[in-house]
Amino acid sequence: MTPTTYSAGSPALLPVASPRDTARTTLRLLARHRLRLAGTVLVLLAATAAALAVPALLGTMVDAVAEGRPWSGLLPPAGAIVAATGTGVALGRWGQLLLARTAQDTLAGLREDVFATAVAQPSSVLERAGSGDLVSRVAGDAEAVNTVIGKVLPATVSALFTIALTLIGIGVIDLRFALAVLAATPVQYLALRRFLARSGPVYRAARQAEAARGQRIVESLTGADTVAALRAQDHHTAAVAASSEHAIGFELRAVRLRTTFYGLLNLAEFIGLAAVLAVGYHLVGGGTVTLGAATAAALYFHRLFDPIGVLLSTVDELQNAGAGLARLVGILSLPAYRQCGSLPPSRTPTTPGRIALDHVSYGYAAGRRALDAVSLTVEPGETVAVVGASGAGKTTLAKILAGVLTPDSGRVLLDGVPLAELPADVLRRRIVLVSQEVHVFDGTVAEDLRLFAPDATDAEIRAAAGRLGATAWLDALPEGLDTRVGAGGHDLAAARAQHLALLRLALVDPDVALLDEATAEAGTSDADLLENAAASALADRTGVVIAHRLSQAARADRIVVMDAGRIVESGTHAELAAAEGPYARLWEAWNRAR
Amino acid sequence: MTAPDRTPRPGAPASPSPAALVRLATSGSGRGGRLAVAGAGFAGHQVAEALVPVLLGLVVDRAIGRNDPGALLGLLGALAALFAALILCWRTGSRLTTGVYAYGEHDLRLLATGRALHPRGMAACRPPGEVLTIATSDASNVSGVSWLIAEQGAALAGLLTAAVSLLLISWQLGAVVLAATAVQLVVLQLLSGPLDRRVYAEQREAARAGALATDFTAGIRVLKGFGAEGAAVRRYRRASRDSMAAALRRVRSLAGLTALNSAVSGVFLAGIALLAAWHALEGRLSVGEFVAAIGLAQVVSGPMQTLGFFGASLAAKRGSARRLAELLAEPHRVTHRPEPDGLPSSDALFALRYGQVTITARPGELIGVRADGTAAEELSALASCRTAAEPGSYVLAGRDAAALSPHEARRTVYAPPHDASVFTGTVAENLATDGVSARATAASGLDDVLTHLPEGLASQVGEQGRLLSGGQRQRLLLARALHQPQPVLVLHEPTTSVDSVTEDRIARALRASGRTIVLITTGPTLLSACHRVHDLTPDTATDPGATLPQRNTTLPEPATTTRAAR
Repeated sequence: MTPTTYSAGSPALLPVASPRDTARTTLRLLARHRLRLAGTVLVLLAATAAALAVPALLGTMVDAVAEGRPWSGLLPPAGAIVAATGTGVALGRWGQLLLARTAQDTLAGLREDVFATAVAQPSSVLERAGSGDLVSRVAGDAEAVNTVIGKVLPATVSALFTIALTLIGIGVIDLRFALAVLAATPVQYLALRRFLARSGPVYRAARQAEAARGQRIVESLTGADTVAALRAQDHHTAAVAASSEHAIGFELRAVRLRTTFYGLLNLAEFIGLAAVLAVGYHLVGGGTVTLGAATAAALYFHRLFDPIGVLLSTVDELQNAGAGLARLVGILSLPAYRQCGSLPPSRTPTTPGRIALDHVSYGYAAGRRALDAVSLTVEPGETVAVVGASGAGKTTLAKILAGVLTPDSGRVLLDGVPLAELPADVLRRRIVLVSQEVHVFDGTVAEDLRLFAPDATDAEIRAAAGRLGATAWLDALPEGLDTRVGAGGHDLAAARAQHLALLRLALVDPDVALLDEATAEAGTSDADLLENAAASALADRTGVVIAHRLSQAARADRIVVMDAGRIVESGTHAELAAAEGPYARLWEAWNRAR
Repeated sequence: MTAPDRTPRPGAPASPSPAALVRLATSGSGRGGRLAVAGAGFAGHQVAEALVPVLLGLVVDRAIGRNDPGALLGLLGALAALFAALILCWRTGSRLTTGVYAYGEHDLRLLATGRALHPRGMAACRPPGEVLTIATSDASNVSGVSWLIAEQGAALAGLLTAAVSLLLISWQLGAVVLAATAVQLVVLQLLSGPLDRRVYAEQREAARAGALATDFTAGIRVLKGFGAEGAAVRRYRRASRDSMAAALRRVRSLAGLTALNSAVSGVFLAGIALLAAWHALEGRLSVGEFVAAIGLAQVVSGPMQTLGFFGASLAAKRGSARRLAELLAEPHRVTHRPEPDGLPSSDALFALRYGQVTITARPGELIGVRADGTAAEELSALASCRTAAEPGSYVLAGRDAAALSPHEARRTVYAPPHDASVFTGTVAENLATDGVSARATAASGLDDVLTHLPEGLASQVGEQGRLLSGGQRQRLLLARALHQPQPVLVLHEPTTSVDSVTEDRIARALRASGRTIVLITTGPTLLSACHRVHDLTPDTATDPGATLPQRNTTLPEPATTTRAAR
């Protein structure tokens, strides 16, 4: 059994990147598309400029009306408004699509890299963090970023351009109008600073509360049958309700901050508008500008309300997305993702390997050692069974042999070469660990198997199933190999799932196979079936079998007995059963009832 | 939430329609009143926004045009008052709507999780990820109708204000605004259909990629043992690219619709300006009124777009409401039956007929049922009422289980699934809600596990107990069973991940516990500890109801006191 790596209280979450690293990584990712981005910026600028001709044209019309020019003189500006709008709209749509393409491409690449890096981490890291953390990043945070780049980013970019070009437009009418507009800036600056300082912590807390709520719900749903048996619906529903209300608390706090922020922005609008009108009054009175120009300036500024609101309020969403982005980028800071696990196209014939442990020690937490200077050599083609009480270190031994865990001291050798020196793909082609956990992946049976052996043909799968005695139940499935199994499909009994795991092993066909409790779920009628399947799956290769079912251990060439992280006994079944050691006691307990 | 049997017709729970769910979210628990006030707030805000250009026109006309300082001060004062009203209205609307939305979503979420956790179960199995999406995204979408109502109401108010202002300036202008709005609404409604479908497709693809990541993460140990992470990553990449393509299709569709909307608004603006200019030239409008008119025409486009997208926004929510309603309408797995007549009179504590065999347990007995595979699963499911027993085939504490609701039946029997769940929290929290029994931890072999955990009973077990090994989890589950107050425990293969010495200890402890326990197992060690054994395995089950010869003589007899009590 695996000794427990343990962390009290909150789990050790995966890392979150600093704002600087987040910005740097994002820029690096975007730089891959720099040409397309430059084009996008130009297109959006042109679109904004076209749209901004409208207030100026309206100003011309005001002047024409004020001067009482003939009716026909109004047609050109009106036509120009239509043309400008049309151009702006067409260019805007094009720019939006370009931007979305770049952003979506970048995001998809990012979430894929994050997933790839995450699954390449040692399982201990992932388990300490909890699967909820990783899933909420790959799904939830990626989605938050997606929303921002889909809706907010185009709006922000066009708002930014609108503001810049409008200011220029106002400045062209008269520089003093532009100065009047700036009267609004101090209030906007203070409002933004106050809002950013206060909303950040609230948003982060809200995201955490939502993640906790999601985990509560999933756990209760996954364990629905258990909850029913325990009659604990009330308890679980109350827990979901409590976590949901906790999250609502943050939502309400956030909206209070937001309304205050927008209130201050409105105040700034008023200050700016009043200033522009006062300046207009002064300038028109002095005869410096026309009434039409003053009107155009006021209309321009009025048109700025929306983009300024959009820009400053998207700071809000950008901050939210930034938090998500930081969580995504944080994973990329973990040790680099190695291209591992893919089986090479040309499969080499199996050559049973010699695998050896040389004074290997390993400890999960300070203090107790799970393995204490263990040495063990398994000869090519030999099958060694490892038995012992729960907590003796058997699963740790298997994980060390498989290279899933790295020993604290000592070496693991495959045909004399330390595992640490083998490239990851060679290691995985040669050594496979069938873990204690039974998981059937969502998808068809064939898809599950091809996750492990991508090149396996239907014929090869059928042949392997025949050798392992799985044909009968596979054919009995509603759609055979194409039956959907796993979370969203046909529920396979535990013994069937273990049979499937052995089938994966047979198809992958490694040189060394490690079976950790791979037949534990066998019932009486399945016992022989599953044990025979394990024996066929181990034929022609080196095998280490961890088994509580001593009937399986007894079939092995050799048995080693572990206790408290050490090997305390080793020999054939006949030798050990005859000796008066720990194996004899286990065997006696096993047989007492049989 | 208690789980009442509010069953209107056999097989299906009470199932509100999608529209009823929307009503619940927006107006349940007194939310309707708050939403009305919020809508009024937003409407006030829109009206104030629409009045800004009117004031602007007045300033141009009365103050700047006539060079009147008194008028300038007075009108700027009015502008200040208008902004104050605008801020206050928005604040009220926003805060109230957020509350309505959040609690509406909360209520829908509890409905969804309550349905999934209903003691009668669900006829069709749904993966937890799917229900989670319904309980979060879909609930949020449906409750988002509150925002939609408030915003649409406000947009309508803003539009009407602008139209009325224009009507007051010139009836022709007002009429044009109203007519143009109507045209825009109809066009956008017609065109938003494809967008609706694409939003749905995008959500589906994103959910699929997310579910894949979830599934791979759950099976990470299996993947790592085979080094199949690479294949998993490739599969995820494909799903991620599909999701991206769907997102781009949605963006394209949305961009098209937005462009059309803006183009219509632009043409409309030019038309209004031209019409107003003509009126002004004819002397029917002052310059200020002309400025106000074109300012209003600009303001109108915002509410017009909001109204124009109403159909699309509502359609996205309709899908969510439908998914939620479907979950709530999912038939029960264990359907309600009327009281069976001809109830066999029985005073048995536990009697379950399976095929030709009737399994009985008297108080204090440890009963073995030798069964595996499908038979074992079926027995465990029948015992816990996860599947319905035929009337007269299952007696619990003298009553026909078919006449009891599953929740009621589980008062008498605790029959967890073989792979029962462990929940986030400490070991102690997983064992019992009140107090841990040292006797139960010893009997289950959990005491050994506790010595290995740094903080003993207070140790965290992690999400779904993943910080524990398989054997540790199994002993925790057994200890939890022994903590349950139900008079009968039905346990399915409780020791598959436990070594033979510990299993032997557990078998003796169960026998000595004095509890009434039915063990569905093929493990000889456990079976040999039983008082009686029913054999259901195909190779030996020839004599229905037969009991195996008893080997042991050293184990204690069941407590005679409990037997005498009957």
